[in-house]
Amino acid sequence: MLWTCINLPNLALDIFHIGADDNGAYVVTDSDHRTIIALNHQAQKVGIKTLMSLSAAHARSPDLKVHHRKPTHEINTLKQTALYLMRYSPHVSISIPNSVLIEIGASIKLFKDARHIHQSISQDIKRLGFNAVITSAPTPLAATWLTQCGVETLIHNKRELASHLDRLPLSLIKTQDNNPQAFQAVGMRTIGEIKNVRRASIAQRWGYDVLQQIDKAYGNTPDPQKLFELPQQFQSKIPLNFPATSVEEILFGVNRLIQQMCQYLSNTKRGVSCFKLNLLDENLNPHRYCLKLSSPSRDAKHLTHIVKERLNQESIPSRIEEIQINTETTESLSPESKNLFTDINSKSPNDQTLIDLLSARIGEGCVYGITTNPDHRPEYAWKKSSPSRQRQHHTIHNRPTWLLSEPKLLSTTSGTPQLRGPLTLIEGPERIETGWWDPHRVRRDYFLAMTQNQSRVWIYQDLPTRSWFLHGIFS
Amino acid sequence: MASGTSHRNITQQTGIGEISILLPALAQLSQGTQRLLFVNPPYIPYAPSLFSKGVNINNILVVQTDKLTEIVWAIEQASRSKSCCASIAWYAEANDQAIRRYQLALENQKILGVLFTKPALRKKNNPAPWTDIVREAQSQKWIEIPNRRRGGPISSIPLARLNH
Repeated sequence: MLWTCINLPNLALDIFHIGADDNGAYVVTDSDHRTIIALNHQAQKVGIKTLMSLSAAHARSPDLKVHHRKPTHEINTLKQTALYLMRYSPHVSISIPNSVLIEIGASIKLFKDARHIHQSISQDIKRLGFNAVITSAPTPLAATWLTQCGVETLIHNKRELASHLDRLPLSLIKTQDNNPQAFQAVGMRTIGEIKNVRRASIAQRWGYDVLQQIDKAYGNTPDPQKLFELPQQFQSKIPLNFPATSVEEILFGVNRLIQQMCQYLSNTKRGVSCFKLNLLDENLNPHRYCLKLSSPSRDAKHLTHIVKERLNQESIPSRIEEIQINTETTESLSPESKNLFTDINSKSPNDQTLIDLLSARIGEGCVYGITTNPDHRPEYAWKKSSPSRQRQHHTIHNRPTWLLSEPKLLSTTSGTPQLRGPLTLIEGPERIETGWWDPHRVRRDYFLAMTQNQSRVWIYQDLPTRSWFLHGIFS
Repeated sequence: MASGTSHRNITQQTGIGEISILLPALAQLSQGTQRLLFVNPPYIPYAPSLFSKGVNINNILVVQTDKLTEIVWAIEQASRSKSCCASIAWYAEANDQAIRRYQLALENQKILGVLFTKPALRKKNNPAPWTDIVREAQSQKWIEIPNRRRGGPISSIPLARLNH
């Protein structure tokens, strides 16, 4: 087991800082709107400190910018970070108020060595725009304590861990009454010192919980973590700073959301087969588009391309202020395995791309495969099918290549059906009398007929009405 | 019939030659993993019949649209995707510009392209590299090839009666 703790000491401050320009002093106040709990570098310069009251801070810097703390925003940021880090290991846990824990021990082989993962994580966090203290240790609590003291290190084994933990201050241990001065009265300062005291005395004096914490940190007792679970559906939105007026501008935002969605899908080992795009215009009226795929995918390029084709077909309101995307149906999609022998039935990924593109532009119902259907009625002996499904088919002989979607009524002259002149019956009759169990009952005699100019057609006489119909055309 | 070229097939009326000329080729092409694209077919391509003639109908993809721009666009996408081995399109009123674009889409791609149009569009400056006309005279079907790339017009060939 090797736990990496990513501690974001300035989380309360950083969530306001990301994407904003960094000039001028600003502070974050607690939920009471009076006490300062976080401040930036410029605020420190003018002598403002944490736990100072807001009025005192205003006295030092009149043009101070003040934000109120947003705990839900902080937790969401931690969740996003956890989601992002899931590519290293599925064992990610969120530790309130400002840490994410990730067990990287099981992933060491995949990423070559622990140091490599450790560096890669810190680069990722930097890219997200956070100041972080990152430490890896064999137990989650030890990793958390080390980061709280600002120690950045990588500890491989428990023996090494003990020497680090021994030096840490006792104030890290939480007592029942949450009193940071609890240990000062006995003249001990470090965890190493308290470890040498008899266990029974520790339990008696400060409670059993303190003992438990020490055991968990040194790895003498298991410390299970509540794992971060991925949400069932992906949902995300992006407000645009400037209203988008063209498809290209909308696609820029869509692309960012799709990247996030594909990251989510890749973490859940799933592919999306239907997702919804919602564009909000300046009056906050929604414009919803449902995009269906022929088979599940998590290829960001492909998904963006489909959205592009779809949006090009739609009339889009001129000013779009917000873009939302959520997954509607997802299916499990394991990474493709490579076979030694190629499967002759397998389709190339290009095939799916083509079908999705055609459906996005021309319309879903207008792009389809065809299949046979076990029914004697000619109009039910075929049906549209999803193009990506492979099926078994049934053979029926003497059927025309083309079928009319609706049988065409033929005029008759003295009992002979006419189609550009009288028709000559060549073969038949083939009686089809079935479907009595549903409203589309048929009783027909089918004939192969020849027109005056040698075209061969498939006609039938409807037995109840005695009228003739054209139903198919042989080539 | 070699793939990699586009054919323009002019028929006087539906029902006299048309696709039966192509069926043996389509049956052979459909055995692979690639798709056969039917763009804007005049009627329903009847699955039981195609299947009984040896066409692997799992590979057939029908695109139902009667707008010329979309027909040409669909063929362009098909030939670019490399997942199609044939695209058969029906558009009676195809103009020279569309045929030229269609030809460009298929050029240098390993795809068989056939476009069925009306005989009224037969002109001298036909951009398609190969045109054949199926017509019927003296109770027999004739195939006429008024233009082909690298070669002048050749005389009509009687088409052996094809069984259904």
